Amino acid sequence: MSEEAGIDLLPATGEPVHVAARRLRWFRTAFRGYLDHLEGELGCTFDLDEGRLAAAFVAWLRAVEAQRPADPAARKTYFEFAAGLMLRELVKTMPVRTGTAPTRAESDSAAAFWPEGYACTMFCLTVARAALRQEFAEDAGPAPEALDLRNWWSFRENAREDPTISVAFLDLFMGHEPDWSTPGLLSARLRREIAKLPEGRVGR
Amino acid sequence: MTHLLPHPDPMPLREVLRGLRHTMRRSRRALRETVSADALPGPAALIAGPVLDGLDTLAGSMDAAGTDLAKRLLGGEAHRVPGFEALTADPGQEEAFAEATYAALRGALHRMGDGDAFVSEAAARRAYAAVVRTGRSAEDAVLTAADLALALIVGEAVRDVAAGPALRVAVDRIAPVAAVAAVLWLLADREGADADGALDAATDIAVALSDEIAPAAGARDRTRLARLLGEFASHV
Repeated sequence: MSEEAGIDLLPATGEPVHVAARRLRWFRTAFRGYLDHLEGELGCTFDLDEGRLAAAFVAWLRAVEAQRPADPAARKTYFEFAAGLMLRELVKTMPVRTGTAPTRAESDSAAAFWPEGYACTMFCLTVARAALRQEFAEDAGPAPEALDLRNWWSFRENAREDPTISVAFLDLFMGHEPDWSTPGLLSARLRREIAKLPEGRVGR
Repeated sequence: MTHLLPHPDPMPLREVLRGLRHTMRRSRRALRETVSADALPGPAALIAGPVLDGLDTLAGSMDAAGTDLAKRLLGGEAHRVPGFEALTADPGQEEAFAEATYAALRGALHRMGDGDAFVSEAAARRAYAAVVRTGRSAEDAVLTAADLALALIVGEAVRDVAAGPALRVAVDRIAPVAAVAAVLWLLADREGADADGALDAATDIAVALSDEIAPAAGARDRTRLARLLGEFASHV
């Protein structure tokens, strides 16, 4: 998929993407539209369980609200983190089933290996990129790590035991350093970022 | 001098017709499920076959007539439903509230797997009359919404839900979840949204919250329901 294609697939909205994404009707339309596109691109069919999608959405809203930071300076980190939590809830609930296997994906690609996981991951990456572009004029496509099939083997295997690891894998695919030990904690991520700041910048 | 008679309220007539439609739909389904002319002995089948066919045709006609009536009476109204504040700021909007709530409950039930359950517009009117009072402050919107949901549940605005594999929540939870879905939809910001999409979203959220709605409704706990409605009203 081209870097532009994903963002262009999201439904038009008069609201900022990060606001629209918190409305189930936009979220569902966006997700369904993204699956439709992937079906054409990969040559497969996906079945979407809208009830499961809603359950994932509700759990995601609660998870992001529970960790909303008070500090406005943490906003960008929070946006990225929220995308990881979105992926966690989708992987945990998994509202997508592959009907027919991909016929147009390379056999050694993530899309062929784990179509449902690939669809959920790329959707979350796309929503995150759209929001980050809109709010912070920042646009980075998926990192090279997102093309390495070994990462997807590890992702699928580990997420079965602990879906929260999805947050770390989304970080990896966004080109960030993942927090493998406490991926589901925003506070840990913020502490790590503060520790990385040059001396004298902390507290400004 | 000409004295104009007031227009009769059409709602009671609608309620009766809907009751008939509901009964015919349920009866037709029951007949199909329990009686098969093929299973009867020859002579009985000769008699029963045409009778059952006739009943099926009658029920089908009634169903079609009822549906047409509902469509005519309710057609497009979802697009004109005022916001929750406008409906409940002061008494006097019971007709608009009851019609909108009727349509929302029907839509929610359909999405939850029983589009044939009976919905009482009269019960929705009674709920409104019992809850909406003059002088309510805007801050109380979610509490009013919770009270309306409870009044819809207690007043049995949804009745005769049929158990079946298509139901997305347990049969005894359908009525409270539908009531919360309808009120959540009314409470939500529906500006610029297609009405069906917003109602489906409200219903799906209510279904996802059914483990919380059912005990709150069972305990008649307006505070817990208000908290849920307030938490999700801006996420429909």
